Amino acid sequence: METVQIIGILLVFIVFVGLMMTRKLTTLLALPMMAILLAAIAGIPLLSDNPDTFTITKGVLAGGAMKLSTAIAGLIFGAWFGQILSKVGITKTIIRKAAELAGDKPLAIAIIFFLAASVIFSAANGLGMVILVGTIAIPIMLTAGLKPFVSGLVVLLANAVGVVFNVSTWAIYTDVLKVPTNTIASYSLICAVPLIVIALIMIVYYTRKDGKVRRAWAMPLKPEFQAQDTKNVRAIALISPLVPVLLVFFLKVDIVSAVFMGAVVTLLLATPKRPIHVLSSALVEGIQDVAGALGLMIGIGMLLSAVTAPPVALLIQPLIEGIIPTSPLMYILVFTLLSPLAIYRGPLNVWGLGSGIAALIVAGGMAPVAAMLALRIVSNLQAVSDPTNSHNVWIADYTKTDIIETLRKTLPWMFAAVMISMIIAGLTVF
Amino acid sequence: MMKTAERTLPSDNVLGYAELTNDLLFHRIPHSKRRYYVERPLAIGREHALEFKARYGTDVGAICRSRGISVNLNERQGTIGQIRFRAQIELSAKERAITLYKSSMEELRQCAGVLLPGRSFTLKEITDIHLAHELFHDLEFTELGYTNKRLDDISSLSLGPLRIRASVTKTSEIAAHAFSRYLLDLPCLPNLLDYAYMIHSGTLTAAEFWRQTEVWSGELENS
Repeated sequence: METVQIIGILLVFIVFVGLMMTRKLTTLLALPMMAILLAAIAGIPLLSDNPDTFTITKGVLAGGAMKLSTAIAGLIFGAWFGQILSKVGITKTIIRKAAELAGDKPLAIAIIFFLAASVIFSAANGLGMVILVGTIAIPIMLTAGLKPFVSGLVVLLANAVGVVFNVSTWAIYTDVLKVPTNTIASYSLICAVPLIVIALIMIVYYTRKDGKVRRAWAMPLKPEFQAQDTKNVRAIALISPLVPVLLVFFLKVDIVSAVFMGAVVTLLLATPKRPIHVLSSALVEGIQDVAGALGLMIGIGMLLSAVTAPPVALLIQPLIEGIIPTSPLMYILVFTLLSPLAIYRGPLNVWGLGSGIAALIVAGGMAPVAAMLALRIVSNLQAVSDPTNSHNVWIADYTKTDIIETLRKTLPWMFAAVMISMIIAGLTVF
Repeated sequence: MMKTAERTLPSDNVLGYAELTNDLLFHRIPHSKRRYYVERPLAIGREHALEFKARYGTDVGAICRSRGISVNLNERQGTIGQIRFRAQIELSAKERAITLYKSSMEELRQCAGVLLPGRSFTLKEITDIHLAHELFHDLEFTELGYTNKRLDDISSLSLGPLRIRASVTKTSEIAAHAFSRYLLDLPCLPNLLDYAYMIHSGTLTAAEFWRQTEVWSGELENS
């Protein structure tokens, strides 16, 4: 019986990974369906008269939906903060100032935009923020003579760097792996520094690759003189995006409070005309920005509830224990070589099966910090290269570039970044 | 200003200034130097157009071929985000290639009459205007040096004692427009067609455009 159950569980994993990777089924729907099927195969009852019994309806669906509540709150507040930054004009001003700093040299523009956008994305990310930054920065880069691919790449790389420092996305590691926020913060540089170095090399390489200078007769579709909202906010307000990160890093403030204080500081420094309107409309629009991610978190919570329920865990644990790395070398090799499994909603994707697998790995004996670091490092590759990311789709569409070509051109570089980070992680935490 | 049937066409200075206002660093240009960044590139473009015309004639397609520049007609729209690409040139030691966006050429042919009443263009004329524009960039690359680099830099950013200097890249476009105008004997700078397209596509009204030309003219006179 047990063997049949294990085969059934493996089949569910394989079939659903296949369905997600071939985009026959969205992750949003696949995760709750997997949760129900895994629980059912392990013999968890659908309903029970006994209120203490773990059931699919109560334990997996209802309990799972709330399991990542800290992460969900972090995401909502992060998106709110991002909308506040854009509504008071800080995002646009940072891009404009970056353009002034870069002057007339395409490579300088690409590098400075990468750095500036990384700061913006460290305060808030998600598709809405990528669109906001991309629609301002990409046309500037294109008209400065950068290729569409490079212009899109700059935004993709900046988003990946920003996510590493974005406190609102850290809560998922707290919820899933029980790693404290200040521990997550203290290991951020291991994920970020190799990524930033590789990103800079990529930008220089792809900008200079063909050695061509580009000049274009290009015009805005709408006249520039009609452009609204051309005023910059005061310079001191430009530090606002960094406030939550600094509060978490140095004062060990929890994520939601840090974002909340960031919002207050932003309003005080930028003094928008209608602060109440800014706060309330930013909350509604921010939640819209992350609606998809919130759905994913609910699904991840259900999957986590299922795989960590004793009847399922008992069946899976022996399998997971067999593949848990037991030495630094194996830790580095396993997570580096398997890092491409994070793309196409694969089993190492933190916004999918990856969270469940990480929870099982920790339950199997791996240190939570090691699992957290591996998952974050692998996410760097996913953030840049994954064609199923909504921001990759938007950037490819906006720049009229091929999304698969982006995958092909970025994957080897991101693999190198993952390897370097994993080596440092292996030597540091294992 | 040049009289047409209904309106006075904007002068080279006004259309050059219109192009300058699109520069990313426009607001960093000192008011007292705005005229310089319009008139100098106009003079550079005009001077080289007249010289070039006397030496090689006006068959821009043939001139491009003789200079080894390949010309490609791109069937795609050339719109990326909020930017409409008309033509572009890629320049390297190995290869020089002009890409013309076919649908852009056709659009401009259709809408030219919006601001130039009684004046129609053939597709070849529109194509030649763009080829001439890009040809000037090729001249900049091979012989003249980029117009923006030949003019004074501006201070693009000041952080205390630190001053970052940059050139005004749109001056290269102003010179290319002037080159195209004087090589092909056009009635005005060809970026007028950009505004004709905006009016044609409904993002700008003719009244707004003419009102804006007065604003530009006034700003230029006061600089």
